Amino acid sequence: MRKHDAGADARAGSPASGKSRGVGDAAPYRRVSKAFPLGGRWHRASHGSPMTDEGLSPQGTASRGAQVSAAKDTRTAECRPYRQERTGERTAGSRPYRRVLTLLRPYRLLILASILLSAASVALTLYLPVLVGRAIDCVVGPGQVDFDAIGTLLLQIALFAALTALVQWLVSVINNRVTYQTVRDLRNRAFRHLQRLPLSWLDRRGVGSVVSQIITDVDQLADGLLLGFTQLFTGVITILGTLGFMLSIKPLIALIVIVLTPLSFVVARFIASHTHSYFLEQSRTRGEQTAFVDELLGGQKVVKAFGREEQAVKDFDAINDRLEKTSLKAVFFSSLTNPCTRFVNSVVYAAVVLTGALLCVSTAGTEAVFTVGSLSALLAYANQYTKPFNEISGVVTEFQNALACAGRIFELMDEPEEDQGSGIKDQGSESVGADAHVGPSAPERNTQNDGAGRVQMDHVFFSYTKDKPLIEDLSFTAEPGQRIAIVGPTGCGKTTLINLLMRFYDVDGGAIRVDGTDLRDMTRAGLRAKYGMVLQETWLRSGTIRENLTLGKPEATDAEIEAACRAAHAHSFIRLLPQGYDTYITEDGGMLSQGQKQLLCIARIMLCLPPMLILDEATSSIDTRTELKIQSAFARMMRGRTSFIVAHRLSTIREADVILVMREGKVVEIGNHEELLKKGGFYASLYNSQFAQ
Amino acid sequence: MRKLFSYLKSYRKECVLGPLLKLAEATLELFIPMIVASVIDRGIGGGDRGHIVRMGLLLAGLGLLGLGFSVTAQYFSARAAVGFVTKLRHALYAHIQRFPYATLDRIGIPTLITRMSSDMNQVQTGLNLTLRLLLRSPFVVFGAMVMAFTIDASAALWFAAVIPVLAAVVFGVMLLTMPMYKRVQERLDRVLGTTRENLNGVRVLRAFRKEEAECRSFAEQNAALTAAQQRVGRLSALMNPLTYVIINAAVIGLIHTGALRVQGGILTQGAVVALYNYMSQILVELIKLANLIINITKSLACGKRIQSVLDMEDEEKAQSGLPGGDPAVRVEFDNAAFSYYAAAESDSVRRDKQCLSADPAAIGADEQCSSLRGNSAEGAAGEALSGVTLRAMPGQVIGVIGGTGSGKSTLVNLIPRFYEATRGRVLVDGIDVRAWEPAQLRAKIGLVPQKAVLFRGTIRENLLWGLDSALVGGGALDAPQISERKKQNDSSAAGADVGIGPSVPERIVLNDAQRTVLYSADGDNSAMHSGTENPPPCDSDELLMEAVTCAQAADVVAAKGGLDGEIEQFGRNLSGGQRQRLTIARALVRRPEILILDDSSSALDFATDAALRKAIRALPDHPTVFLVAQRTSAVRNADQIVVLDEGRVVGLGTHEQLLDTCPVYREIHESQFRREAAL
Repeated sequence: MRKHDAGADARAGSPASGKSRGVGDAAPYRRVSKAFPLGGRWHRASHGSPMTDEGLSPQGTASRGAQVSAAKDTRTAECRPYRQERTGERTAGSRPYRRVLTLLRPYRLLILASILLSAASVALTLYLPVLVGRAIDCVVGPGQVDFDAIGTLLLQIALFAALTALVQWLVSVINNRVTYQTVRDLRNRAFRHLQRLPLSWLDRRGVGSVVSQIITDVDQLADGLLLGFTQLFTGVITILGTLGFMLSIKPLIALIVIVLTPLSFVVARFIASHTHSYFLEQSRTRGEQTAFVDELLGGQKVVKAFGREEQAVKDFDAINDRLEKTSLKAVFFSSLTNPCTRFVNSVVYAAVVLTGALLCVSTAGTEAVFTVGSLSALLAYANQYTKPFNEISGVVTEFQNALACAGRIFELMDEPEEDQGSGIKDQGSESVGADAHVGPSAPERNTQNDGAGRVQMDHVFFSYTKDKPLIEDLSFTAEPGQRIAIVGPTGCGKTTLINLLMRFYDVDGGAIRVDGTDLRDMTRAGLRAKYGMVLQETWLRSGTIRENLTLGKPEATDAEIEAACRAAHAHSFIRLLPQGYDTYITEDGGMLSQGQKQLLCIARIMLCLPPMLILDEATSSIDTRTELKIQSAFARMMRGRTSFIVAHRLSTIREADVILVMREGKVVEIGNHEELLKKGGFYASLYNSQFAQ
Repeated sequence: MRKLFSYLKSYRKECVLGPLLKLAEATLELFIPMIVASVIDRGIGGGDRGHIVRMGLLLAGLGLLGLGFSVTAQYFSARAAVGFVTKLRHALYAHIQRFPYATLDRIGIPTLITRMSSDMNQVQTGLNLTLRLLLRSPFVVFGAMVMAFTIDASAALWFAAVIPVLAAVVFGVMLLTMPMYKRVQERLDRVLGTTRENLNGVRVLRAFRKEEAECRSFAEQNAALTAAQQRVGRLSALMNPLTYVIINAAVIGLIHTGALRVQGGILTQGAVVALYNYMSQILVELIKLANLIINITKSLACGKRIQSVLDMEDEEKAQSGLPGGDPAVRVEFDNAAFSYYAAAESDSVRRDKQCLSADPAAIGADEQCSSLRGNSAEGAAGEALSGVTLRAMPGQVIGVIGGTGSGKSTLVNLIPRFYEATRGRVLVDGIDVRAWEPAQLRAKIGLVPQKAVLFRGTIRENLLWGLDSALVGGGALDAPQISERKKQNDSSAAGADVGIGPSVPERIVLNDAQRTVLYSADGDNSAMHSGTENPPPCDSDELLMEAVTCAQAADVVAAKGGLDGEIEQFGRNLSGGQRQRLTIARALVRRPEILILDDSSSALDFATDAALRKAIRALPDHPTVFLVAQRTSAVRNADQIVVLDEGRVVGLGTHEQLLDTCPVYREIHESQFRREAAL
């Protein structure tokens, strides 16, 4: 009897539940919602709110899945309207579900075992109240106790209890294994896939939503589909089993239970459907508040600078008061479910007691005697009969969420990988070795250094979106060893050129050639091995300074590292850090200044010295004195290497062999400093503006 | 935690009534097995149908009564929990508003956001559950035992024996798994962090062809996570089977003892059934309790974190009795120094403690601690700024130049007292900034921060940030008025040596018409709105557009469709340069007496930057300008240039003077211009 009580409660989140993830359960979502306040929280809210559905029909499930995911899309993907178009096609039908089954295939034996054992465990647990009832029947009154029979029954109870416990434990362990390992496999595959997705996809999608796909959605999928499935299965068996046992004991009372119990289900459904809107309202208001706090606290220094503190509190309170009202409704009305279903249960209980006891009295002494023990068994069943129903309704919600999540994950998995260039099969694996030891790319590099490094842009067309043409018919040639400066006002498309050179994006028309080979005929890895890149947005990974420096050359010796850092003028400040080169830094660089971070990025390139360089505003945050100091090192680094430099600072551009002047995505002038000044065009006006005061 | 609970005071009634009603409901539940026993013994045993019917109705009635109790209890606890957290959120947010910059830096904005959102939600859930269940579960457990003892003491001994064993198993598993779940959480964080990092650095990683290595390290961390999950899964999977076995062992014992007692005529059959029913209540409640405790522990941790933010010091109020200076000088630095370390020292001890006790689940905690240590290390090495002595007269342009981390930002942030000089002093209009009422001091200053921050709303709403508080605190209205005020200001400033801002009375002089004109233009300010959506009058628009034009942002405004153009959260729909220009316009709108440009044109191209500087110099009301820059071309026309190097002033003078006397300045200049001379 109590197994079911325990089981049902465990589902509510006990640490020892069948799910056995009680404590950690809510935490991942909470964590994700910290990072992505809107998406994450909504996710949780939709998950936690007592949604129910019309039934288990595949259509119903699928359509709800689509609803959920569509609604989520609008929250998590505000700036990516294109996703909506995909929603329909993605969640159509039960396709994700079938694909989930494919994922489970390696574990099919375990799953089969789990199903059989669950069935066994349900049957055993249901049988125990019968045994207890029989034992009670042996205890009728003074002098009427059948100790022999009791002894046998108690022994049976002990045996069955032990067996049930063992089976329960096995089911939990197997389910854990299947769930966690499927999640692990799926995550690994998704992550690997991510490494091959085109940057255009990632840029459009945004980091937040991809992270939540890989972390939250995968978790949700596991919870919903795997645990949900086992719970659904046990739930159904329990209901059927209970029905069977009750019918076998006393059909009349079983009928009462069958008729009355769905009442509690109806009540719960009624409350759930009515609180659903309050929950939505609550999560909307919460979202609003978080967005407000996010923005205003993010700009807290500005708030203070403009003396807006009081106004900010006033605005905050307006939302806060609304949140109080909606929260109160949501919290209160949703907390009604429990008392109400309990009330229905107690009515059912009373009815069973009433009819059962009357039956006992009326059948007393007859052949078909209805015993007290049977009554007690029926009471036990009646008490817990509603629980599997509630469980199943919860499972349905989770199922729908899980399907929506599965849809999103498979959508990610279905994104076509970018082709890795011709001969990707062999050369791709070569490049795998390349990052362990610079090995295979090294000879290539040397040949490049011997004079090669010619980059040709041949009538290149490119745009991020079809309706906004950006680069049109751009042609130029960078001779080996030349220094190419890319100049122009903000947003004129300078970084776009880098995206094309590195083949982060592919050209729409025309061709880019390196030493006569079209980029599309090289492997991406092979191409990128030729470039050293320092981007405007410095990116460091969490790890030690040393790990960051050796990103391009893991086998570098301490002496090499130090030499590179000295050349990049990074050695002096690294030395002063608490643990020198072994100081751990976080992704945002923690205590390092923007300039220091850029010096590290420069040192990182200095260490592996590829044949061509791309420097995007590499020195924008370094003060000019430091910059001056590294100029010489830079010059040495650039000697004999074709270099592309994007910079606002004329001092870094002046010595370029070729200056590409860009304006609104187009290259408007090409030439060197003197030529362009003489020409008196756009470059000249840009240049003069700095000194014309 | 006491401070936290003080917000619960106004919900005293709810906090008492909620749990009490819950107990009442639980008491009713405890009677049910007794009633069933009486049905079995008197009703069935005695063949008393009337009794059976009465008892059946009583059961249903008790259910109804219980429903009434618990619904009321749910309402009280929901009200207390929601109301408490609403009050607490308000208190925390208002408290954060009073934090000085140093405190904001130390805590970090992401941490504060977490405190405001998820921590608050957890506290609400925790309090609600506590009010509803904390008393109920132990009450039912012990109530069941007590009832068992009233039935039969020797049978009830099974209860006395089984409750501690069950509790040991339930709480033992809970205690053992809690740290394991924490580890799972940590590893999940690591997987999440790796994914995010990989995506953020995708260009660099692909450029270095690290895809395969990334997959490997991801797989490693993922495997570590799975291992941790399975480990804790195996352990917690023990709880259900173990408790199941224990409870059934107890049932066996119970029936055995019961059988003996019934045989001896001491107990009835109904009593045995009742005992059996009590036994089943215990387990459910114990598991609920264990769950509740986990939840409460979490909530308490969150509560403590909120409390620790509430405990952080407020901004210092205006102090009196500080010596004044020359009121004719607009801004004066008198041997001022600032050390982040000294500023942090006051509560660094507390902070350290917090780092140790902080729940590792809090993402920010570790980073904070490490960055704090970083700061301390830096501070121990020296002050971020030291020995600054400088006098800026009204209308002067002061250039501030120096390398990265040389203390430029720190210097200008001392003026509005965002940071407080840890040594020496800073005076504005001859009055120590610490003697100024912060709001009045800041109303004189237009600050353009390094990081261009705009807020969701229309461009107009954003620009009016500058005007709004300028009005309240005393800013400018229109050109004639400001110049007039300025005159008064200047004349009265000479005689002013009171602790408050010298021109306070003039500032508040504002006729109602102007007030409504300006406020009704502020769509955001709904409180001030009288409900009518008048189209904003053009004179305030003119004011805004003047600032916009001066900030070279006219094209930005035009591109967004005029002053009513929408700005998205964080100004996402603008480029860096566009944002910067609008933030400059926002500062100009208030026509500040002191304008601080903290390296705020870094995203502008030279042409725009030069035009901007020209326009600022030509401002009609000649503010004192602090111009922080990296390029000497930006400061060469300044009246005075402060050259900073690693927190020390290494040069002070005009461009020409510094070229002669200051090697650092010359170096900076030459790094930007030397080759030019050769051309």
